[in-house]
Amino acid sequence: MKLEFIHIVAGLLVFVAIFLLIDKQTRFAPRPLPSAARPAVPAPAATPAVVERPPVGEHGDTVESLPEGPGREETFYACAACHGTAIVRQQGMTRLQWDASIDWMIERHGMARPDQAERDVILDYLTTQFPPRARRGRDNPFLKN
Amino acid sequence: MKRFKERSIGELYRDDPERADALVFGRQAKTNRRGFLKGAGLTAVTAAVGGAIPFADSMPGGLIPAALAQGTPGAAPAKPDAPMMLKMDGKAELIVLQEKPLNAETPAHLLDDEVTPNEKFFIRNNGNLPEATANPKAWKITVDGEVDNKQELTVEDLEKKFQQVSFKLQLECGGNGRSGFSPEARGNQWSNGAIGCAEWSGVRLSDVLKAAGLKSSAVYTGHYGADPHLSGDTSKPTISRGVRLEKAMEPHSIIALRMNGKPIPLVHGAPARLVIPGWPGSTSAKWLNRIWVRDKEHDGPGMTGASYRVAKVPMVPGGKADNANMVILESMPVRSIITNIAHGTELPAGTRKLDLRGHAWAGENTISAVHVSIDYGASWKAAEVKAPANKYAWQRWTAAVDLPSAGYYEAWVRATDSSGKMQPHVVGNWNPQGYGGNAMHRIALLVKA
Repeated sequence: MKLEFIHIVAGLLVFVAIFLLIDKQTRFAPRPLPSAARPAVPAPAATPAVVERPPVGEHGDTVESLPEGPGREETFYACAACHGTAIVRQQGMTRLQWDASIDWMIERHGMARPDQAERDVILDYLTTQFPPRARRGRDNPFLKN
Repeated sequence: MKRFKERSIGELYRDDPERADALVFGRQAKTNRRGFLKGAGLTAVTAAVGGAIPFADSMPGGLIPAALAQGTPGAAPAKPDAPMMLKMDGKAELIVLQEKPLNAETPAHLLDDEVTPNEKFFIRNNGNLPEATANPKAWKITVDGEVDNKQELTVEDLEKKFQQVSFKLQLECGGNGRSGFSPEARGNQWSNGAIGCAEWSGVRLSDVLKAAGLKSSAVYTGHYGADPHLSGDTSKPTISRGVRLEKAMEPHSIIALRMNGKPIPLVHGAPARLVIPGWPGSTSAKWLNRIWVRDKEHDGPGMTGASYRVAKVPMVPGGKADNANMVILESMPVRSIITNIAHGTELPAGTRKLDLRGHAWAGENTISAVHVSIDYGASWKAAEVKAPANKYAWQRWTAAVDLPSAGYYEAWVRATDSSGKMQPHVVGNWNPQGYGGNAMHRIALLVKA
């Protein structure tokens, strides 16, 4: 307990130092991007990263744009055929919600229907990598996943 | 040996706000009804935000200070990673939410203009950008379906044969404010920046529909644009939404040919687009090439399931939606933003008065009141609210607040609409795709000691 507390305080101080250094505008970040999605040349902390290629609707993502883990390749090729990984990385959902999202992608957006084994691999990956981040309010006694 | 994972303050708060309070700030929610900051805890949170907290007494327990919450209550993790900023000819540095399809929002402090300039207007796409047309005047729009005379109108026809009108109209993405939902709702995690109020010029949609001769069976419209589907399948419309005929016939629903007096930029729908003000932006089809008048509710992509729909009977947040319980979101909800001061602004030592300014809007309604607070909502001060330039234009509000000392403050703003509805402190009415999230806007300020 005590160790954890010290660790948290140390982490907090580092965080505060970085927070005070970064440009004000950067604090509007809706969602940080994994390092692979950032420009190859690291921008100094005080300068917001910029899209180096013209954003004409091509994502230029690679498998590495998603965090490492079992199922990363299957997930990348299932999703990035149509859209970039940024929309995936913005989400934080339960397995039930990810499953419903795949249905929605198939029905609404014409995604190729994965077989059940592939679907399970993708769902395992998404559920592990992008679970709900927030318990922004109180516990919900009615929610069963 | 147990390995302790490094955690950001944002993560701590998301996992368990009360425990985070206790661990990080020594703030104990359970010993004091509202968990206000005391003693050592106050010192710690003061260090974290970089200044004293004058209204610590009314700062609720478990609330992440806005300075650490990255702009919006409940926003994504407060990590020092920089957001991706838009680099595009003719556009300001908007915040890129995704590149394909391209979606970017405007930070609130760039929305201070009375009329939003083209370069500061947010970008929302469902598909790819179409190629720019070589001959805009020859661009064709088909009006068919429940009409007596099918029309094929060129942009030139619209310019020559119909009365030209010009309005300042708010255009807002249906998902604006989505990042406030808990648990997260699916889609682009907009904060409050998927809004703009430009001056749109063109012709009334009602005049065009009348010219086509509406049959008595006409009840709904279906709108189509030229944006290619992301999959590359040219047989699939990217999105096709529509509105009840009453809304299509409303005199401010227009086919726009100009944006702020200039030809519409490609990314905003050149050479012709719909502007259906006050309703989700997806009804305002860009690159408009067809209006299909329907004899029933339109069922194009984006009209069914949970798309652009909210729960009629309130549903369990994060639960599975019953499609039979989902109803189309029509009027956008009441919302207000602070635009004259950026989130995270440091004010010079000695600052004791602060002017606040921004916009408020409410879909089909107007604004009846705007209030500001600098003590976490413990007390509110009424702002002055101007009348809109025309129906569906956002309204300017101004207020002045006193800052009793140096230190950390949060300026909160809330608007109330003409139907009596006020913005809530937190987003409710959860729905799977996160529509209607309109929590109060908060910004963090620091008066230097």
